[in-house]
Parts: sequence; structure tokens; C-alpha cells
Amino acid sequence: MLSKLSLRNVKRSLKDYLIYMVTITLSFSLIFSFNLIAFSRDLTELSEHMENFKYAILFVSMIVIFVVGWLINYTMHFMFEKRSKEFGTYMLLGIKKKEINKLFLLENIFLGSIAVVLSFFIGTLFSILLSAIIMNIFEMPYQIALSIHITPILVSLTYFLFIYIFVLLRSKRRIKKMNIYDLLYLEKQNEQKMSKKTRSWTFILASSLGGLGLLLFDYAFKIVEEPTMMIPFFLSILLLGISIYGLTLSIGEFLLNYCLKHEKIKYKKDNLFITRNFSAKVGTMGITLGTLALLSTLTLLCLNVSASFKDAFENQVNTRIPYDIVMNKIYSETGALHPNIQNKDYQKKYQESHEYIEKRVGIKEELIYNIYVKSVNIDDAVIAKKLSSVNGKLTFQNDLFIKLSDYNKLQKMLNRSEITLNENEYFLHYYKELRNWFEQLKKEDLNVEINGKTLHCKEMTDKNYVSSWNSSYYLLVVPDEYVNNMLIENAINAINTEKEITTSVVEELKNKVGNLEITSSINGEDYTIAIDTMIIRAEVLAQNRSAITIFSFSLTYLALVFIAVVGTILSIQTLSDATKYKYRYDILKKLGVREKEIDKTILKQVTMNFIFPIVYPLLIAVITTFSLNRLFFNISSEEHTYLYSLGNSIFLFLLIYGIYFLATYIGFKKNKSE
Amino acid sequence: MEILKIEDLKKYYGKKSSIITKAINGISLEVQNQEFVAIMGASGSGKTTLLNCLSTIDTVTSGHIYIDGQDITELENDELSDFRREKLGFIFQDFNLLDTLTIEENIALSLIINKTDPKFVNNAVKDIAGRLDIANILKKFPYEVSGGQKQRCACARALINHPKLILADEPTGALDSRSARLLLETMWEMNENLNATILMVTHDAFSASFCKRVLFLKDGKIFNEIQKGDSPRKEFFEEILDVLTLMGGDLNDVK
Repeated sequence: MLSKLSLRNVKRSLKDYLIYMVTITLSFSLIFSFNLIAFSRDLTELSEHMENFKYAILFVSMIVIFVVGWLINYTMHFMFEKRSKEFGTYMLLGIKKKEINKLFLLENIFLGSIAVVLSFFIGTLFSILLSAIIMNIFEMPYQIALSIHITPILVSLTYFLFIYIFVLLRSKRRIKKMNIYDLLYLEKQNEQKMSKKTRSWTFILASSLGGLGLLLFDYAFKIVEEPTMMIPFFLSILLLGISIYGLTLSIGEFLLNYCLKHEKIKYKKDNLFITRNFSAKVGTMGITLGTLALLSTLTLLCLNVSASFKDAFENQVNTRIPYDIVMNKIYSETGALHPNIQNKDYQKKYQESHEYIEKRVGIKEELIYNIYVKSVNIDDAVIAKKLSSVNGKLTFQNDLFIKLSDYNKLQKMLNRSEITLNENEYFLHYYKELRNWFEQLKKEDLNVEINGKTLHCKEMTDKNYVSSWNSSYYLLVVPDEYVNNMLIENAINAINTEKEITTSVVEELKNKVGNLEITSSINGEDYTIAIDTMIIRAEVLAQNRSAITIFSFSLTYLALVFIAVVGTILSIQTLSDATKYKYRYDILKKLGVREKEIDKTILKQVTMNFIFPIVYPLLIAVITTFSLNRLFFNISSEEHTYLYSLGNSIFLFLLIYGIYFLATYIGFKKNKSE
Repeated sequence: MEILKIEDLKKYYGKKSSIITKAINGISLEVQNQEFVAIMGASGSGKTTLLNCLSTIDTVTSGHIYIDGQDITELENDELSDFRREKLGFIFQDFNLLDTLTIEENIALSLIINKTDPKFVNNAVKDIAGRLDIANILKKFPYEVSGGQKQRCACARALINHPKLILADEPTGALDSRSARLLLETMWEMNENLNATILMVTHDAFSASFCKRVLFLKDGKIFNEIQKGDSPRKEFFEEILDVLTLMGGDLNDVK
């Protein structure tokens, strides 16, 4: 009998339950789809680093479960409130609390099971889409293959079970604590109000804490290389969190006071009606709105960092190794004098590898070029000395030179434009990380003397620097004739292959060449240093693609869940307002406000509901981007990439948010007219 | 001068094929400027329907309603909104105050809707609140004041625009007898001193006795009509009770 009643109730309030169903189905689908791809063998086998993807997703899932649990608890509470009168009436008629609890439980388990079943289908579809995206990142052909693994299903079911046990226990407690009066008159409960003074103090305190948090955040990324950066970093996160809650709680009242103080604003149009309603809303659900603002901030940060990481990792490959293979022909640290240059063993290894490359993947074009030093005497290295003096932290050993013709050939292999130099000029190309110090050097006399002639710096740039050109952070390009009397420091071979280098070729090459070990003696003690003698683009690419997938997907996963939670809760809140406010709109209508004006007021109210929790997060996102850029600056592709990343994340955020907004507005108008 | 003129008003409910309920079945009446008229009748006599038609929130089946010379049965939706805003004032049984606004703001709402220059709003509200004896509760919210005070606030809101006609629907329905009396005295003053024309719907003889004229409705028609004239209120009250007895209405409807 009871289950029959329960089923009938569900049927009747199907429209109200629709939001609830959509919410849990979508959340479960997301959880399930990410688990599916995390455990997918096709994806973990893409690269050895992809194993970590599973652990990243498992870790992120912990946060997701917590947030989704909160969301479902919230929606359930909302449904409970909606039906409080019904439950109150049952109790009045003598049905025991236990029975009512059972009824509510039955309904929720029934709906939850439907959601779980649905989410297995939707989640599978999602996972196919996600797999396709990852395969695309790895530039692998993707065939839709449905392989059902038991592990992700079990893991997901465990998550759902956890969420449900938590939520149902909470609702049981809620029902236990209720009495008939509360149930019957739940809607009549008045809002709790902070006193005016507390509000303004909260507002001032929260704003200053927010400012301080942002400053600390910036400071943390100023000293990003030092281990102590964690202290200001976590402190700033804490402060920002507090300030988000504080501001959300107090800003409604602040706006209201402003509006009330200015008669011109107060008595104009629907300002009074809207701000009063709004501040009442913030008064009753300030903490929830604060949590929504916090989640919005996290969403924006996740999206932003994810976009920056993606760009950085993609770009890093090009900065590090734009050629298919770069290998050392000979290696020395201090020029021609080093004994290892005649290392017969290494010469043999080089020959073998070269032959192997030619045989396996073919050589389309290659360039063997020398890197020169003027002398082994460090005092002769003008730039290195100056750099060491302005930097202080790093010691630069020697200035490295390259022939203009070699440099131009290297550029040509990358389809980049060549440069020209006059007889008494050189060109300085350096790694972006050193920009600050080179900027300082610009003012100084950078003339270099070679063979009794003075060369001045024609131009210096950090654009398109390739770190695998040589073993240092900068390179001096000089007209060919000047290197005649120099010592050869390195001989390097840059190769573009005919065929693509697969993972197996990478493995074999690595085994063939191994690492070159050189022994050098510092202060009388011998050190063995292992040198990377070969860099393979395919290998770096695979590493970076794994990193992109792991970082970007985990962060995007979080962002998607967060924004879904924010959108859903705002939507539920606003739609329940529509029913509550119906009475208010009726009064306005009776007093002679036109239908169109009321619609305008509704639009304003819904807009305010949706904009309010994201204004401060947007502000934080924009400001922190500049701080984060200190971290990404060196590895991002373009000067202003961070602004694109920011723009992209805000756009994506607003797009998803906009869909929720639109759906809510349409629903609100429909609810009102019913 | 007549403010309200109703010509053979009919309001039928129900579809053509099924049984038709004749809520109002041919009512004609006139209300002069500065009159205070009560419309009485038992439940189902058609008084609420009549008021809804006058309030322009319900349509008529046939007949005409002229308020301030304008036939409201021929107005469109938006015109009706404008008309309500400019010409009518309302006092409802359940106050219909916005719970998020203070008393002061609730009164000002009428002016705001009429797009009054914000400069004048504050003074107008203070003025009317002083007259209705609610100046001391202006900063409070509806849930912080008594029912009588709430209804006086509703009166103030209805009055502040200087409407041509104030329509009151059982204004004392939710009040205790003391508050009811105070409110009725207030309404009487509104009519007497502030020259407001009021049409009140009630089933309470005591309330009706404060009016200058009482119309009795039965089965959608005007059954009787009595004038107070110069007789004292108590006598008029007795007179009303007599008519009610004559009508044979349920005595439960007579307080």
C-alpha cells in the first residue's frame, strides 16, 4: 500500500522531480564516463605515463563524490521542503514518522535506481566522446569499440552507494527532527538576519581579506621556484575562501543599503522590489550562495590552469625539440681539449645509431653542425660573465657560438626565415627564461672581440629559441669566417626522418645509444655525469601528451562537475522562487503593473540570481591569471597566451552557465503563468 | 457626479453545452463621487464576482461598466493594467502586502508603479501614514506589525495615488473585532475627510453599517438597497439586519 502511494506521489510531482532526476543522472553519467576512460586499456596503453591518468581520475573522483553528494543532499532537501505539507498532513492523520521516512526512502531509491541505469547509457556515450578526444590528442585513429569492463562499473557503483548512504542518512535525521508544526509551516519560516553593523563589518573585512589573499597569491608565484612558496600559496587560498563567503553573505545587504540611501534609485522602476527580494534571498541562503561562488571560482581556475597547461605542454615540445631527432656526434664540456671527444666507444655507438635510424625510418634531411667556444678561458666569455654578474644565482660557463650558415640551415629545416649579418655583427638568441637578465644587459656594452675584430650585437631575441640546439641557454650567431680559430665544443646532428618514429623505434634507439657518461674532476674528486646524447621528438611528445591528458582531463572533469552543481542549484533555487513569488507578482499585477513589465522584472531577478555568485569569482579568475602567468610565462607559446587561455575558460564557463540560465528563465516564466 | 456606472452586467460560468452558473444576472447600479457603498450578500450571491469584474481582473459576459466615464469592458490587457494603476485602489481581505518590503515601501509601491518622481515619494508616504496613524511603524516589516496595522498600510497604499475608486474586499475579514472597528473608522474618515469614493464588499452587517448606502445581492441580482441618511449608525445596523433576515440568508453569515 505504502509503495503504491509513494509511486503515485512520484508520478504526481514528476515535474518537480524532473530537475532532481536530471541532476543525479548527469552527475552519475559524468562520474561513470570518467571512470570508464580511466580504466580503459586502449588509453592507458597509449604511453607508459598514461597509467598515472587512472590515479589522477581516482583522486579527483574523491572531490567529485563529495560535491555531488552535497548537490544530491541539497536537491533532496529541496524536494522535502516542497512536500513538507504533504508529510505534515500524513503525520496529522496518524502515520508514523518511521513510515513516512520509509516512503521518502522508497521514492528516492526508486528514482536513484532509474538515474543509475540511465547514467550507464549516457555515461558510456560520454566516455566514447572523451576517448575520441584523447585519441585525437595522441593523433591516433579512433574506432568506436564498446568494451565493457567490470572494474569501472564496480568502482562507479561504489561511489553511487557512498553518495546515497550519506544522503539518505541525512534525510532520515531531518525527518526525525521534524515535528508536525514545522512540516506544515515550513514555508512560513522567517529568514535569519545579521545585524546591519555585523554586515558592514563582514563586508569590509571580507574585501580586505580578499585583497590580501590576491596579493599573497601573487607573491607565491613570484617566488614560485622556492619551496617556501607553499606557505603564502595555501594561506592565500584560505583567505580567498573566507573572503568569498564573507562577501557573498554581506554584499546583498550592502547593495540594499546603497539603494535605500539614494531615493532616486530606491523609488525608480522595480529597483526596490528587486533589491529587497534579493537581499532577503541572500539572507536566507547566503552560505549556499557562498559555496556556489567558491565552486565557480574553482571551476574558472580549473579551466584556466587546464588551458594554460595544455598550451604550455604543446609548446614545450616545439621549444625543446622541433626536429625529429637531435643527437650528439661528439660531446665535450670544455671544447676540443676534452679527452672524451676522441671517445672511440661513443663514436661507434653514434655510427650504429645513425645507420639504424637510416634503416628503420629513413633520413629526409640532416645537418651536422658545430658549436664553438672562443677559448677554454672563461674570462674571454663576455656575455657569460655579464650574465653571471646580473643574475647572481646561476653561473654561466662560456659563450657558445654557431656559424651563420649552420644557423640558417637549422632555421630552414623548421621552415623559418633566415637572418643576415654584416661583417661586424652578431645575433644573440636566448631562452625566454633569461629574458629579465638579458633585458638588463641591453643597456650594457655587449661588444664581442673575435680575431682582433669587434662585433656588436645586431639584435637579441627569445622568440623561437630551440633548447636542443646546444647545451646552453643562449647562442651567439656569427658570420662564418669568425669561427675559424675557435675550438669545437660540440658536434650535433639534427635529423628529420622520412617515416614516423613509433614507440618501439624509440625504445630500440634508446637501448642502442644509451647515455654518454663522462667523468670530470671537481676539486680533486671525480664525478660521473650522464649526458642525454639523443633527444627524440616522438618520445617527448608522448610524455607531454600524457601530461596534457592527465592534467587537462582531471581539471576539466572537476570543472564540469562543479559548474553542473552550481547551475543546478541556482536553477532549482530560482525555480522554487517562481512558485514562492507567484503571490508577489499577483499583487504587482493587481496594482496595475503590465504583464510585460513583470516579465522584465523576472528577467532581472533571474539574471541577478545567476550573476551574483560569479562576479567575484570572475574577478578572482582575472587577477590570479596574471599571477599564474609568472609560472606559465616561460613555457607558453606566445606572449599573451595566458589572456587567450583566460578568455577561453571564461567563454566556456559562461556558455555552460548560459544554458542553465536560459533553461531556468524559461522554466520560471512557465511556473509563473501556471 | 457619478464615478461608477454599471449597466445590465451579466457574468455566466460554464461551457455552452453544460449547465451555466449565472453568477451575476443583470445588475445595474451607480455610485456617486465621495460615496461609501457596501455590497452585501451571502456566500455565492455574486458579490466577489462583481468585485472582480469591477477590479478588471475578470471579464464580463455582457453589459457595461463605466468607471470615471470609461467603459472598462472594452479595454485590452495592457490598457486594463494602466487603468488599474491610475484609477483604482485596492484593499484586500488578506492585506496583499509584499513581505520583503517595509510598511513604508509597501505604501510607496503604488507611487513607484505610477512612475512618480522619486523626490515626492517620501513626503507623500509620510503624509498619508500620518493621517492613517501608522507613521510610527513605517520602518517595520509586515510580519512585525498587527493585522489592523497591516490593513491600514493597505489603505494607505490604496489612497496614496488619489484613485477615482477604492475597491475593498472584506477588509475586516482577517481582523479581530477591535481592529475591525478601528479600520472601519479609518475608512469612514478616508471617505469623509479625504474625499475617497469607496465600494466595499462584505458579508458583515457591522462593517456595512459604516457605509452611507448598502446594496444587497441575492442570486446574482440586486435584492434591496437602503440609505443611511441622517440616522445614527446603530439604527442603520438594525436596519441592515432586518433586510438580511428578510432575505432569509443563512444566519451564520450575519455577525
